[in-house]
Amino acid sequence: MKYSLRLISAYIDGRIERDELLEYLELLGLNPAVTSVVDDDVIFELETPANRGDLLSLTGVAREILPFTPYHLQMPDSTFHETLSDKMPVRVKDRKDCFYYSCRIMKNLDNTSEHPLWLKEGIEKLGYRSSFNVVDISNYVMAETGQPLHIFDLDKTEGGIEIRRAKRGERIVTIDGKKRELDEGIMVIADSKKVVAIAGIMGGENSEVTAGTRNVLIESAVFNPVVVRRGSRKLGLVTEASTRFERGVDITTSKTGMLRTTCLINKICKGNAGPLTEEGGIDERKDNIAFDIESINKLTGINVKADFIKKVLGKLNFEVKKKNSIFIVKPPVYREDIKENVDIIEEIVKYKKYSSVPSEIPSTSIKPTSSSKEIESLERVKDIAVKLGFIEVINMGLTSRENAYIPGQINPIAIENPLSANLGFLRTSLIPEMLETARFNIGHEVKRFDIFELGKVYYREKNSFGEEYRIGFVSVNSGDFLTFKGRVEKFCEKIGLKNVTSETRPDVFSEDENLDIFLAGVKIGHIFISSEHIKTLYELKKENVYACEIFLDRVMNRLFLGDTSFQELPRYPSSKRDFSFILPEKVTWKEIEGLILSLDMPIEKIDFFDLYRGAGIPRDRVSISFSVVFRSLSRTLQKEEVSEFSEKIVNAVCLKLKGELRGKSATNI
Amino acid sequence: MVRKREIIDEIEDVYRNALEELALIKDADSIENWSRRYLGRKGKINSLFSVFAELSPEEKRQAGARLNEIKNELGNAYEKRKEKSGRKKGDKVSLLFPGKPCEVGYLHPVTIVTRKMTDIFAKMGFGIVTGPEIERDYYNFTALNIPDEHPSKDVWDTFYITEKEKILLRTHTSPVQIRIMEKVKPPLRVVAVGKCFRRDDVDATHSPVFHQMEGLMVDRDIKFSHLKGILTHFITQMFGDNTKVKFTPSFFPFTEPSAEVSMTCNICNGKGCSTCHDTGYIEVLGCGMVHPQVFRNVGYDVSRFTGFAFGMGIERLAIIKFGITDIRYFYQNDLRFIRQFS
Repeated sequence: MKYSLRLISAYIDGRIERDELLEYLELLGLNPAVTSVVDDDVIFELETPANRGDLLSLTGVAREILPFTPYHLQMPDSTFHETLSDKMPVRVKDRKDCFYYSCRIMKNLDNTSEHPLWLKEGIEKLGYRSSFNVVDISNYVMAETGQPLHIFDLDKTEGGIEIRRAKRGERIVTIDGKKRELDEGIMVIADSKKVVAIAGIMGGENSEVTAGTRNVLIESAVFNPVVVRRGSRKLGLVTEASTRFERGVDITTSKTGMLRTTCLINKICKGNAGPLTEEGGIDERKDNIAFDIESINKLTGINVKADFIKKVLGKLNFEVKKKNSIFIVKPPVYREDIKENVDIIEEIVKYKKYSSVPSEIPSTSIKPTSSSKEIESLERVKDIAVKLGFIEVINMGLTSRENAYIPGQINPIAIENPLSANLGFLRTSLIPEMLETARFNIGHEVKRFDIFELGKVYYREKNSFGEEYRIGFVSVNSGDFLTFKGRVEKFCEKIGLKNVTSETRPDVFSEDENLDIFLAGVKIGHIFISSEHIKTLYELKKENVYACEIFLDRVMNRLFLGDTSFQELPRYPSSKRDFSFILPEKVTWKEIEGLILSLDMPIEKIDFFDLYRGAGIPRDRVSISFSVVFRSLSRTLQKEEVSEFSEKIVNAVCLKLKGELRGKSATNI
Repeated sequence: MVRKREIIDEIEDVYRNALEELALIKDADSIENWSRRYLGRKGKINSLFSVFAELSPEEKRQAGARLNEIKNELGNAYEKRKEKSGRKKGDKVSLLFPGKPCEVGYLHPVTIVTRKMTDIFAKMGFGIVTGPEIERDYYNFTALNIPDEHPSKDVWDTFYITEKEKILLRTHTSPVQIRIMEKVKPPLRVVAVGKCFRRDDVDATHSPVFHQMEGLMVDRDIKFSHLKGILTHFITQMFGDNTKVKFTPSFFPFTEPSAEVSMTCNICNGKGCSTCHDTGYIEVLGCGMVHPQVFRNVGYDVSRFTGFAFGMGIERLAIIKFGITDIRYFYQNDLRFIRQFS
């Protein structure tokens, strides 16, 4: 709602300047945002907390700033005389839905009566379009008191009023001209024949007051906030009234609103008032809250004098009693937010101003709380990926059905209320979104790149839901597959995964050019060359795309295990020999490596460096080149010994793997 | 025969000398000079072809072959040496040309800012913890004193996985507070960082996915003044010593008293501009003293312990820190964006 300086000032018995008012509201955290300045008045909006329905009123805001001033609240005139005896019979079907209901008949309104300027201007400042007197009065009183009121055209109602749940299939056209389907979830006001209003939300066209209305029924009620909220959500209809009922309205305010409305209709429209019909009792009394003046300092670090507390709480309409250092406080009924002593302390500190609270570093025990190992490991993992030249990307994880449903992978989780279809699922793999990232960048002239993402994927298992950390790598137009694989292997080694192996496996991302990665027999990830199908799907047809995903959760407790310990550097020189064999195509590197290692020689390492097929090599055969580094830890190996080793390798490969030596260069390194 | 031997020896001598000389050369000019002397049209190698006249045809063929081989090898040696010296004759200026571009890895700005933030708190003894992104309504709302079916819940527009079973995507990192307090007895000092989800339409300042950092400190005699002290220290560490920090009242169901923290706008230095709506201040985070109901929910003794909590959006801080104009940049992953931060 909108507020104005002049409208608020009307309820204060002293003068408040514009800047003063805005400053107070600022200090209270209500963040006034000025929308316009009219003559000597300023109009603004406020950010009121959801538990402060009382601030959705001019009197409420006036009361809220009083403790900063020497002034007091002055409530508007509510006097009138009852001159009729007509009473509307009322039946509240369920007290749990409607805590209080009151209504009053007023008759013989003079619809030619003058429309007062103060009312017209006030209504416009509040942000409504001015209508005729009765409508303006009900809106004005709602803004004044915070109590939503409804005024029916009495002549359009038949019989008594009942407050009940709608029956399935009942309908109403609301005053906004829309037809609404109702059901048992929605509370209505009905006469003996029909539904005349949706309780607490909006009235019906069938009982709406018009400029010519002579007789009216004023309603002022307290409806169950939860019932109003459910109804409002169900109908997708949020109104000034429903907003207030949801935040809670009290019976005292409801009565004030009724009196003020009757008074204004009586004065302005010359209507005659009948007696009040009431259903429902009095407000539940609030419990006393006791607190020690010392507790303010204990919680906030500031000292406050007893007089200050009395003044502030008094002006806010709290009852305050003091016994020694203990205050016994009873908050007013409309302060739903005040439940225990911290709530009262906040009130006091607000008026003492937050800026008066000192800024201190606690002098506390230095016992630190230990960090999660998982977080530490994951940050180190990111650093390794960056060192290998990858750029970190972060995707939302909310994705499309197409991206989430990957055959053979984990079951995706759907969002019940997605923002849009393409954000309707949680991801089951990091790769699809990363391929979209690749497409985006290719489209923006970044043609060659290496990216990684560390994040969660989510899965459904029967009726439970799970999430796990993964890291994904995608290389676009950056070297060949074995270069990519080499970086993945280095990555695994650097995060502490020793002896990772890989095996080919068909995969959806890549019909046959795919590797599963294993650690100690457990699958921990996969590497693949994107298939034509995938490339077409992600518009990467012309690009060379390799991708890898590692299931970090499955190796979390093996990451960065053990402290690094120094290893003595070798003291004796090594000898390196290069070999090229022509071998049957089916021979695997694992076989070659295994065979050579089985020969029981002082081998430091075997490095593969080339695989060749084509000109000069018979069909069904490949040329494989590698180097072997020999080193003894205890002495320098003699040339003759190394030659002997080399010969053993050649013999073994030729014999056992049906190989043929292609050429041998013997270089000492 | 004697003549042949001499010629062969001479060829080999020239070859050896040429290699030795080349090895000693230090500058590009001398390399060119060397090439002219040996490989030029009137150089030593070409002049050796002319002495073949005295040899028999078979000898001529052999010597010629060897000489051609040597010429090739010297040519290769020249190319290699020239490449090594990196530039051509008289080419000192090329040193001043730009170096060749090279690629390095980068962290995403969300990670960069997260680390800056957690580092500041880690130095004050805060542990870094984490929690699930798929949450129960209890941890996300109820335990945090956010009542069901109340408008105060509306601030957190929620994605549900199943609303009936009350399983949702966490809307803030605050549930981690509850989870850690259920496990650890006070004193306690932690920050939690992670992804959060809100059903907000995408625009320049809203994203359905964003990151938050949550902080919690519980001990005997923890006061609001300590919250001010710790957060003021954090903000000045993050944005500079001259940054002014302002605390104003606010409302969160899980803290009481609650505060909103703003700092001097770093676009206009507090003078007032469109970014700060002419107030000179921009909101950075929400905080407060942990509500006693939250302590009761986790079984902490409210008569013995008090504490404070705070929460802030990582992207929001990154936006302020780096002057980023649109939150959507964070999830577009344009590498030209990510490469700007280190």
